[in-house]
Amino acid sequence: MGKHILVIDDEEMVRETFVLALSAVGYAVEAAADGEEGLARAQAQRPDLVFLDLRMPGMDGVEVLRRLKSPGGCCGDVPVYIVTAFQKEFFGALREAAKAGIAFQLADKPLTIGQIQMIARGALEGRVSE
Amino acid sequence: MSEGRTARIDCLAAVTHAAQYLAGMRPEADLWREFGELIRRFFEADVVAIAERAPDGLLCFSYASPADESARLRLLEAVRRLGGPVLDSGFLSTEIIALPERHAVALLPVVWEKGADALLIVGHVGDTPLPRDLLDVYLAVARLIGSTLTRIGFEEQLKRRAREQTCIADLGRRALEGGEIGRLMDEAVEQVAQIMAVDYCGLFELLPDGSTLLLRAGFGWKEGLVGRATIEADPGTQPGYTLRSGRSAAEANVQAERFAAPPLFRAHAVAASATVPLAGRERPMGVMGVHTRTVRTFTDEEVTFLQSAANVVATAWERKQAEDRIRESEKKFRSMTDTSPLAIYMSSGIEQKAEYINPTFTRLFGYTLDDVPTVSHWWPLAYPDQRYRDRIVEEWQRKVAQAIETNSAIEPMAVVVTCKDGSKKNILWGYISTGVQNWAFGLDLTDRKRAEEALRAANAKLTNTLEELRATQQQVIQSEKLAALGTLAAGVAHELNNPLMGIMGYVTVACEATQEPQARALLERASRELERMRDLIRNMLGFARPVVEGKLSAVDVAAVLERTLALLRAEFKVRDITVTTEVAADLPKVTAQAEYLQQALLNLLMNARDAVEGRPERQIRIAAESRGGQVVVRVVDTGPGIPPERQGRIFDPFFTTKPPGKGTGLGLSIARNIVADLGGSLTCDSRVGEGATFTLMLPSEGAPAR
Repeated sequence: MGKHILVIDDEEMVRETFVLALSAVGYAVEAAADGEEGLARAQAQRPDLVFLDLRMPGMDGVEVLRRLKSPGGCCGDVPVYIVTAFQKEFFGALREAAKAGIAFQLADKPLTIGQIQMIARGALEGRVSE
Repeated sequence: MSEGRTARIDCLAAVTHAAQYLAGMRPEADLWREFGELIRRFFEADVVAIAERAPDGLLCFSYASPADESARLRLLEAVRRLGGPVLDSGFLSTEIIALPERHAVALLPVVWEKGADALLIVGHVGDTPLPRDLLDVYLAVARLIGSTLTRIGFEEQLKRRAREQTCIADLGRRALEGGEIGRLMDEAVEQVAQIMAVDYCGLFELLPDGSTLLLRAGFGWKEGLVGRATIEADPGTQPGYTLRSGRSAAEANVQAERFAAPPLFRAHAVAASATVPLAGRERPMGVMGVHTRTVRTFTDEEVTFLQSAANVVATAWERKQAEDRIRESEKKFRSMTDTSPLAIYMSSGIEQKAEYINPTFTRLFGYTLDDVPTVSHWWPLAYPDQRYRDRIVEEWQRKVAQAIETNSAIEPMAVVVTCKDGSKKNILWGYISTGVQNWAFGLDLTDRKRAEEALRAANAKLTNTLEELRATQQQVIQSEKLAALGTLAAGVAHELNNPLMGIMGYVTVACEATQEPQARALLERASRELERMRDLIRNMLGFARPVVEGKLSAVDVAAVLERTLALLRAEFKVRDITVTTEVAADLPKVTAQAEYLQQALLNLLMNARDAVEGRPERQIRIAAESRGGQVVVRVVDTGPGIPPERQGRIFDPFFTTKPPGKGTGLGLSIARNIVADLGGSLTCDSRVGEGATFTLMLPSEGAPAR
């Protein structure tokens, strides 16, 4: 299949879980511990799907999203799943991003391995089938 | 000689006749002259003179003829030598003295009533003594003169007494008429001066300093002194002595006597004085005096008359003063009753006839004196309802009787009085009886009742407001508690979520990897427990989910602001905090929930309140305006300001600069959460020493959200 998935999360256990879940079903998974690293990796190799955490040291998830989706960015049409536990402080920013036409999906933390695999399959197979 | 004797006896008869004729004549000098002339004519005497004993004891001529100066001096010498002994012994003396021609002179004592004695001096030219029978005739003439003078004196005395009595009666009548006291005083000094034939008469008023006598009224004094001139009431002076001792004093010769003359007297060359006290009931009021420029003896009768006049003046004067005092106190009382807020009804007599009602009475009830001429007119008007009236009258009479019996004031009685215009008033009646007059005092309680009700209503409102404030504060505390719990739970949940997600992943992978049935079963159980844990955490996160719940609607920010301020107004007042609001007139509505918006504003205002606490200037300014599709509310305080390092943290939960127990550190955090939930923002701008401005922005209703 050769699909490439990028996980950006500052929590090692969370990154590991994504790697376990996605590599088990044959996806190539890359994990970044913060926003800067995530953007660099996306730049280096364009992902087919991105899982993105909101609260991270340094650049927060919304800012990473904006940069990924910016006109000159690498991931204009790459689906991005924001994995969140509904942190209120980001609502306003997310709402604004949505208003600005930036596409993203929300995933409710914590995710099980089954859920991660389901999301990935849905996003990637759906796009592929288009 | 017998012929001559007959002729002389005829002459004597003529003299007697003339004396009777002359009896009504005055003054004395004229009388002496008439006598002298008669004797000269009828007895062909060459010298006739009458010498009187002056107050100084010396004899001096009241009449002398011829008027030749040197003859008179010689005659006077003889009189000085012989007159005293003649007068003292009552016997005549004959002498041949050297006048221009030698004369045989007879000195004949003229004796009449006490003190006023004189000598009749008759002389004929010749060297031989006067014949005995002529002397007898002269003696008879002298006696005749004496008795005539006595009679004249007596009549004169009677007349003077009559004049004095008329004067006193006249003064008394004037005094009784109660005219101006000054007029009476003027009248008194003038009449007394005339009757007593003195040069000066004065009424001296003792001034309040107790030592100065003021010439209050006077007769004969130099122009401009009455009402101005004063004398010291020194007991060494005659007026001072009279004032201090309360006794009259008469001095025939001021210069020669015991008293020192005050400057006023010296300036008027006063030679003789009589002074009497103007006696008041409690203290002397002054002195009245008569004074002459010539030496003169004041008789007891004269002093008594002066005292009588003084008594009339003093009595009238004192009564006048008392009347003035009464009038003054009546005036005071009248102005008191006229302006009294109490309705006053004064009645007297068995029929309780109204004698006085004050303006307040008429103003309150509308009834005039004509409406209620007696108390029995009052009852049916004031209490038209028969049964109520009977009850009131019965109670009133019982209370009045009790008050009289116990000699105490009546226990006040509250009634409802029907006024002339039909309106009703709550009146509290009091009553005092002086035995002659009955005074009823009515206090209008209507206004007070109204005021009490208003006060009660205001109290109730205040209580409600306080309750509301307490409830709101309770609500704030409650939501702060919940928010604190939620924040804590969210923090914990977020921290737990990440490892949980990892553990769940690991367990799932391990479960799929193992073929050992028991291990697989255990890992599946672990997985289920992890899912339960995940659900628990989700529930905990529920607390931290959006604060604002329920339906949003169009909310008038100005109204919410007003309500919020109302909750704190009393508190601001107590803390002496000035609050000003500037709300734009065309402020659009916002999409929100009024309760939450109110809480956010309340938290901001309470923060401002705490910020200005203890500051010299305590002001909170609230401004609301519309700007670019947003409603912007600014809360500006004159607090100490927030240092830059703290500004990033003030919205953090549990961050507080207030002393322990004062704040939860959640007020601003909650306010920001609410505003965030409503799609707005809350920011702070502050510099140390310049206060702080909190800016709350909410999208206007209908405006596109950010």
